[in-house]
Amino acid sequence: MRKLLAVLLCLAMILPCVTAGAEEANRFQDREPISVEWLAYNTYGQPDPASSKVIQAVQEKYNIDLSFWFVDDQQWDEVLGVRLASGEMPDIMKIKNVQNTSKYQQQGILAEITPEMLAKMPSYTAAVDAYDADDNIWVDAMVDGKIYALKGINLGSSYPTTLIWRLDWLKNVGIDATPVTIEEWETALRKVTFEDPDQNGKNDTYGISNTVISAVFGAFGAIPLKEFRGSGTQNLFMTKKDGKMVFAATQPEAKQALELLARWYAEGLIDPEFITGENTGGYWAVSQAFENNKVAVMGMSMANHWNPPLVEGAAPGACLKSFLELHPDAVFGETIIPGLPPVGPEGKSGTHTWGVAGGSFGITAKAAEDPEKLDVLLQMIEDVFADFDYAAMTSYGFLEDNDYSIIEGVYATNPEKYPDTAASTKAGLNVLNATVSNPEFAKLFNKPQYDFFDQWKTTGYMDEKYPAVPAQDQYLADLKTFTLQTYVDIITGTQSVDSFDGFVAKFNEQGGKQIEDEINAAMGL
Amino acid sequence: MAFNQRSDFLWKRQTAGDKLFTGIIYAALVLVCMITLLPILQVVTVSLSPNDVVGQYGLHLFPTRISLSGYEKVLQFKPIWTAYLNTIIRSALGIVITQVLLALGAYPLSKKYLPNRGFWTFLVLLTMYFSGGIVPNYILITKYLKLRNTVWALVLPAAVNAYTLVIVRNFFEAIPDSLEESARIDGASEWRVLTSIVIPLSKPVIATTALWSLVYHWNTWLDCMLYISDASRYVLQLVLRQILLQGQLQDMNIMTQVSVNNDTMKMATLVVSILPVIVIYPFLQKYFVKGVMIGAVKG
Repeated sequence: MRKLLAVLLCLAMILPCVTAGAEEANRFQDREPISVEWLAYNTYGQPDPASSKVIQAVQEKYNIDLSFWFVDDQQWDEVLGVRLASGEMPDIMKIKNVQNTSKYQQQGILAEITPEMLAKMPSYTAAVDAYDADDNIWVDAMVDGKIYALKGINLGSSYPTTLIWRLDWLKNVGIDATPVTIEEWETALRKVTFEDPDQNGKNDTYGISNTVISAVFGAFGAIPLKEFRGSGTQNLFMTKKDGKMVFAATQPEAKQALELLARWYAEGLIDPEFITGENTGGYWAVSQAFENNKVAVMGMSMANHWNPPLVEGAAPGACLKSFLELHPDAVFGETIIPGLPPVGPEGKSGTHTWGVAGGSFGITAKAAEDPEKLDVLLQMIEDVFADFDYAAMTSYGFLEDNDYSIIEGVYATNPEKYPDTAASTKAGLNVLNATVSNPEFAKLFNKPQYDFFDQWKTTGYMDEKYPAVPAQDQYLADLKTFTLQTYVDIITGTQSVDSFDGFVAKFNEQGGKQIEDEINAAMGL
Repeated sequence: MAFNQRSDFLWKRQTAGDKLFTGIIYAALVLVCMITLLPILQVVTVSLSPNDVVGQYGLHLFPTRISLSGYEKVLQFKPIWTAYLNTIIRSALGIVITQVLLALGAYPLSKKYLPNRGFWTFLVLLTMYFSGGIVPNYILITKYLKLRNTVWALVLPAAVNAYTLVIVRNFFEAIPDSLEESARIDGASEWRVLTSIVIPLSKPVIATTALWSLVYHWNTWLDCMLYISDASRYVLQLVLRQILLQGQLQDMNIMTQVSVNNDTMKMATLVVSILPVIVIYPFLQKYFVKGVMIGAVKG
């Protein structure tokens, strides 16, 4: 073993002289090791440099000493806020809430991403240009016209969220295929509500709950909110009208959708408990209402949360796995099947889509002060996009260590070694790639998955991106609560549908208009 | 038998109004009991049930089918046990330091002959109304005291609580002066008075404040998250929190295989973590009531 190591080390010393790529390695090996504080990852667990081979390999490659900040995801702003306020900062950090970008910039935490810096990452910028079809990926990373955050590209989230039907229920009430138009939807929902689709002799089913409501808005042209429940984080979505950004919540099409929903609610087609949400624990995309035979269709999850094992030995998607525990005989395509979002009177339709832009992460002012450190950080990001082997190693670990396997072209993490994301994060998987990946590589890692995605792709509404403006900090939180309250009141019949006009006036008066004006001014629209 | 006759007698002597009043009290107590017990029953049942039962709607108060898979997973999950040890160390250290400081602080404050006693008491009370806040605390502990990544960062900041100190002082004050005087006549020093007279007589308040310390150290996690970065030094509640919240992070990096702990394991962890406090509590309870009462009456 030692001899082998010695040979390898000799090779490692000789190779730099031969290959061009290794010249770069030299660039890092000639200097003293630099310490790098890393927070550009999803904090499912805490990476452990002492036991992680991936982290050690990266440390060696770039001649750095990595230390990891661990910030609890559910207390992100509180915990990180304290540490940042005390003057500490990591070198590279995930920006969990993009609306904090301007705040961090004002506090002097984020460094500007200059054109020179982007030029040092040619593969990264090329990938961004190739996938940013709407040319808006930088919008929420900008403050005063300058870029302060790097964006990930997430091919998976460019696919719309999926609506999943209980096909067995539909068949039980005499419908053979999932409904398409809003009229067909109404008929189907009525039948699954009143004709005992689960054949238990009780009238205990509903058509839809919280997670499908956004798709009903989609049938009329815009989605105002992702979810219609009292808890959880909510964003008020914007939509483009006559070239200007406006809140979808105040548009006339939202009123049309509310009118329909209020009628459905009065008729009993909507689960009256929709306001508490469908997910009561476990993985976030699971709907307990759907699993417990309460509703016929659910939204919010992605198609690949539902895929049956695509290659031998692979696990089913997270939602299907959970569904199978309560319905062991369920078969994808027979018991459950993805359906199309309802098509409205003007032919519009779509479910909520996260968009190709992934999360934001920033390089801090502290890191930017040190040219050598900045050089390393930029090269690390560039290599995730340029070097397939490096990308595979930082995402999946080492093949020879059984960190993952490749079955029929699918890269799959070893479930015994990494039973959950906390374990894989501890081992440094998906940590040092700064949670970003080259979409071209992603397709290579998991082709069947993307084929499955393509098979069930529907229409969708992508989140319109917009820059953070000062008026948001002042008004947005109250506007969200006000909107949700009014919407729920209208759907449940506490307020009349006509009170919508009063809501719009009050919404704009209470800062809604000001936010729109500031956003349009900032975007030059 | 005698007791039954007596209670029977008391019941018969009651007027209709008294009976109604008693009834209302009983109803309220039963309600409070249920509010406390139902969640615990739910947690224990879920921890013992297989996953398909847990996924069903409704309350799970009594197990229908028993599965120990949750506990098996917990037993095999090493970070929980490391964290368990860390919490025990932290609690033991915290309790000892707190008790020593409380006794040493409360004793002089309880003496009427302490010079400027009002001023010193005022200084202590001041901290109940004003505190530096979380950021200055953080800076103090990490930058000036350099306690990051040590158990001291968890133990020292909360070592003495002004409210608890006042309660202990009040308890000490209530001890008759004549006892001390007799000791002094026999030649006892202040130290001897404290250790041989005051402390042995103060078991109720010591037990009470020790239990408070224990509960505090057992349940706190935010300080650990702020000051400790080494995962092998994490306390139980922080590890528990991570296990409980797993799966709620809505990330879209969907090419990562998703696999989260099920609720059975989560609740099993919860049961394992509250067990020691539940076991210790009955032994301290008799002191507990007395300790709180005496502090309260004199306060």
